[in-house]
Amino acid sequence: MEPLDERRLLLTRRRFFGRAAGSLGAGLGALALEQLLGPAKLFAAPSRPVRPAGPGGDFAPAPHFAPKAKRVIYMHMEGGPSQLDLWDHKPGLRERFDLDLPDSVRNGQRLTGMTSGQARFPVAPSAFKFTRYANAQDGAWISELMPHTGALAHELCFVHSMHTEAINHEPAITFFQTGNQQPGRPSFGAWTSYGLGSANANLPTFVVLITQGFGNMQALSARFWGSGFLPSEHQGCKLRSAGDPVLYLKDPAGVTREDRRRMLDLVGEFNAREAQESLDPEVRTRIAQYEMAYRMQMSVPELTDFSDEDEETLSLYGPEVKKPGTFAANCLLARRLAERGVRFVQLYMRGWDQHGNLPGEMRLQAAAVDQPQAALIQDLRRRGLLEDTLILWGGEFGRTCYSQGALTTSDYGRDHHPRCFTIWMAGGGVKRGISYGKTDDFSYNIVENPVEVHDLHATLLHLLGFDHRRLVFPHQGRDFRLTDVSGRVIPELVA
Amino acid sequence: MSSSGFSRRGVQLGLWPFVAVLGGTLALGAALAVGAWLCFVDGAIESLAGRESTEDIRAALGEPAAPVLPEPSTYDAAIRPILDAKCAGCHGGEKQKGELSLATREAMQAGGKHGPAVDATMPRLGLMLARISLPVDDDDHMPPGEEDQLTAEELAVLRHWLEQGAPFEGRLAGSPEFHAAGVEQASAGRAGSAEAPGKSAPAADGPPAADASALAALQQALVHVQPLSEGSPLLWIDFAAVASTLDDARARQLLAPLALQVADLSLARSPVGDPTLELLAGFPELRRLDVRATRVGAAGLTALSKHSRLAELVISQNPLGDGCLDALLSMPALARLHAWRADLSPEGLARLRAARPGLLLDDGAVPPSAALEAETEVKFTKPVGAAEIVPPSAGNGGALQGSLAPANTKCPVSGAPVVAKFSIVHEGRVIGFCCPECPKQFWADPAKFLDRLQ
Repeated sequence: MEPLDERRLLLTRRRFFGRAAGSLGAGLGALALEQLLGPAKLFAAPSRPVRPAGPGGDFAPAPHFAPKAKRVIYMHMEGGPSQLDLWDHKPGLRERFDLDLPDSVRNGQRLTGMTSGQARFPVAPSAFKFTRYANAQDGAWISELMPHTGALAHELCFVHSMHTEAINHEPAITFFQTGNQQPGRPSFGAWTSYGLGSANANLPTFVVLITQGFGNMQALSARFWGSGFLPSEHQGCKLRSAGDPVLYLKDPAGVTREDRRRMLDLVGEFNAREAQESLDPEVRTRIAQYEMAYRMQMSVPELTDFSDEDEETLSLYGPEVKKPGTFAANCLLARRLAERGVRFVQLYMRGWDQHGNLPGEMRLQAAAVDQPQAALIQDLRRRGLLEDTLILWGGEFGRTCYSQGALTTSDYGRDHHPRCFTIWMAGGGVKRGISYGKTDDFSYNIVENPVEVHDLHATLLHLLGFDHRRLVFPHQGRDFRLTDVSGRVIPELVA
Repeated sequence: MSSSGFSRRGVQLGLWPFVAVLGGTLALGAALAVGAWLCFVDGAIESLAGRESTEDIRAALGEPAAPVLPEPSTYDAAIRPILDAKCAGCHGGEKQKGELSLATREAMQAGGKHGPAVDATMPRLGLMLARISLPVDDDDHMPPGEEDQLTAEELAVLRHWLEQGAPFEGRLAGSPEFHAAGVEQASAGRAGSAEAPGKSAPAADGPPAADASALAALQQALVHVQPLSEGSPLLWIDFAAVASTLDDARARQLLAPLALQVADLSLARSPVGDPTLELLAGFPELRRLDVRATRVGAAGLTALSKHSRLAELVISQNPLGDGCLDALLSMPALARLHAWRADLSPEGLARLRAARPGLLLDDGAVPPSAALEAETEVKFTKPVGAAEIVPPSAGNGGALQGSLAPANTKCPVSGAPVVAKFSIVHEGRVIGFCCPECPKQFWADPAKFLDRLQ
């Protein structure tokens, strides 16, 4: 190396802060695009070829074995929907209305600060009627709040015995999304993107869509779809529901597509030179992401334009489908993303945190998701996409069988309950029409086949073709993985 | 490069400024203490440095070892005895029920009248894997319910072998841990063979590796191409990114050099038609083809009608009509067909179902799951002495239909403007409030506030 170049490359204080400022987006003033492109990382670990190479060299990663699912649609119900009022039918509780939860059931387990001061814990049976729908076993009891989903019971795989370590929203969502309660690890979608790569070079590999709910809503941090220590190209891209789906994606007035191309070519040249000198992999990521953004200028407007959908399909998703940002619109968008090869679509439905007003609020929450999510499954199925699209539905924890606050004949609330709750899956290699795991008569403890979050992650990765112990990334001196040092694939859930 | 190399450099780089600051502001003793701590961290990392993988760390943490394959884990030692004991009575030398013999490798690959018993390329399409995985009371379950069943351990080993692509040579990779949950294995400590898992899938006589320039051409054209699995020469190709601009000439040009490798292909939503399907007829490894919403016609499907491996086909959203039935009926390996909006008449669908009872046929009209029993009311009781309780859902019932937006503009409790997210449903109506506290007062006595809603 030339001595002058060497001198120039020495890390000076000025250079250090100059870069830090650039990575915060202050220099560019385009924060939204910055979010899409990902902040450059100062000390990003150099990637080594832990991913298996494709037949032509390192051009495409491949799963460890032939996968059952090629893509994931993960419907996260933020807040923790009550399993007792939706999926985990406990008719015996109706004979215990307003009686105290027996100490032998609670067994001194921890409570949140919201109910630990309550003098008593009165049992609140669900106010909703249940129907038993036929499935591959002896039927699934499903609440009147989910009639459309119930009619698809033969497609669904219920896990009634999920449990988690966290009792508050933020760590619980972080745990579900990243396999760890502490922030900083890559999200499940980022791992999927890292392991499988993109199947459509014109769109991000991992897309996030958010729907506002009713009642109490918790904050959704962007790190829930972050890439942690993985290269930043793997982080989720949030599509906005109002206005432009991606800010600053449109060229400003007076700038033609040719102008934009010329500008990117020149910037690309500078960046390539920088990448050669600094050997920083994040510069390469940045070049690739600018090119991706250029192609997204064409692909995103086409993606979000529903005018090519016929009336029959629109009506399948229900009356709210034409309103951007609703769960119905996002479910339809998820189908359009899936058929365009996007690997991981994360739908967030906010507002399942019913500490009070539960019967009145849950009707709204359920009405917002029931028909659209059932439509999504049907619509994928008839297009031949359901068999290799893995669908996951669930919150970050469940809710208590005792009432938070006053229990009256017309109203009750439920506190957070991490010790047991229900999730369901469908499609991509999952056993159809079954229920797995059991809770006790109070839906308070698990009595059969407990499934922890790491087990669920291991099983999902298995369906995507990965041995969860081998999908690793070296960071801070050890090989990290989504399941950390735990996780067991649950064969009973796999078709 | 071992992971320990990264770690040690990472730790030292990360802590250096920290030490420098401490050295400048605290007494020398404190800095020395930090130095000692650094040495300790270094030592701890040293002790992990000997462990190369998470597998070793897992073992060191005392996690249970995975169940293991019988030794030696070859086809002859581990698999053949199971087939001889549990299957050969009906599918062996003497009897060949369903025209299927499991006596030789060739016989398994050739299969019986319902298709190949094993599929090295896409294991889930092999019939043996499907049949042994069915519930015992299913009519298609193998061995049949009245016969001697596979033990849990045998099932785990057999499934493991089949999911690896049924390799006949060499040792089986990995361990059947996944299939053997709940199977107690006495011999702990051996975590499968050391060979790289997955490498065994393509047999020595499998297709050659794809031509690098053909793969590069696909990538250049922004077409997705990916090996089916690590080490496999077979490919999944998806034209989704360029569907709208694709044509037959381009598709043929890109695909032709990969005739021996394409196993899973999607041309969905592109304006390609029969000329491309005619090319695909000469792709021997093709298992799955998605031509949804394209311009394919009966002629193209006829070209594919003798394809011996095509098992999954998506022809939804092509107005094909009953003219394509003969082609579909003569596809020997077809196991799954999606034909929503393919203009197949009810008679045509019935003909297809009658002729191919094992075919999974989806015409988009799957009946809903039947409601076996439905609760008509929710009744709360207290067991001893207490009066009957009026159920909350009595005045609350009926699923909400239509808009989720509140009908009222003023909060019935406070009279303030409604904030949409503070809404509830009462008697099928969406009622909005101004804050999260007002609904609580409302629930205490709904009747008191209902007349304020007008």
